[in-house]
Amino acid sequence: MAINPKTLPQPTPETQHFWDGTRAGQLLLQQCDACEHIYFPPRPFCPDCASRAISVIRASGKGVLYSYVINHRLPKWIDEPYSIAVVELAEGPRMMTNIVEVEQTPEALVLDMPVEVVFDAVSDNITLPKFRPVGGAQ
Amino acid sequence: MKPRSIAIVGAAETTEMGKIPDTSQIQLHADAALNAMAECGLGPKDIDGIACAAEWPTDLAHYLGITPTWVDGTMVG
Repeated sequence: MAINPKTLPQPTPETQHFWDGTRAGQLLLQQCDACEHIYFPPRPFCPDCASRAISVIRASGKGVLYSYVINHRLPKWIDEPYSIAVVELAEGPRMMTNIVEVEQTPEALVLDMPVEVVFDAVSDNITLPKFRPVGGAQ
Repeated sequence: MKPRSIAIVGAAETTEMGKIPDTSQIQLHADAALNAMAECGLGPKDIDGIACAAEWPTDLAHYLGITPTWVDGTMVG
């Protein structure tokens, strides 16, 4: 899928580690040292108990398709309808993403289907985590 | 204290002051809010509303783990 450079994520000091992780082929989450809550997106404190003692952990990259829409109102740099999806990770947090390597149709995009992360290097600095059906398209 | 009266129970600024180039705008908000929560012993689940400037209060509420029943801010009107 073509990318408009103006729409790329801009890492901040609090999110830089996440984008370093995706460039290295790792999906990184954070976990609270005090209450063990695992959360996303990145921030230097726990949104469950407000503790500032947190650690970065590597996610399994596995999850299920929680929800999605198929966007047919395309910007001019994109040719085909594409999914805008929410994946619920095995570790708990939900992440907005795209489902790839599968037909972008309601028949192929089945809620709760197992998905796994793939990494799409869209620029020198930004690699986006996307998800594909486990075991290929059904 | 009378019923339905209002009191300030915690107030704080960011941990660092002056130019803070290694912290995003939303994290500056969160840092001060966490300091205020720590001062009075409250956590995000104890808080039912949020008011702020420059950031959307709903964004800040989600960032802090607060589920607000009301929001206000310079961008709400």
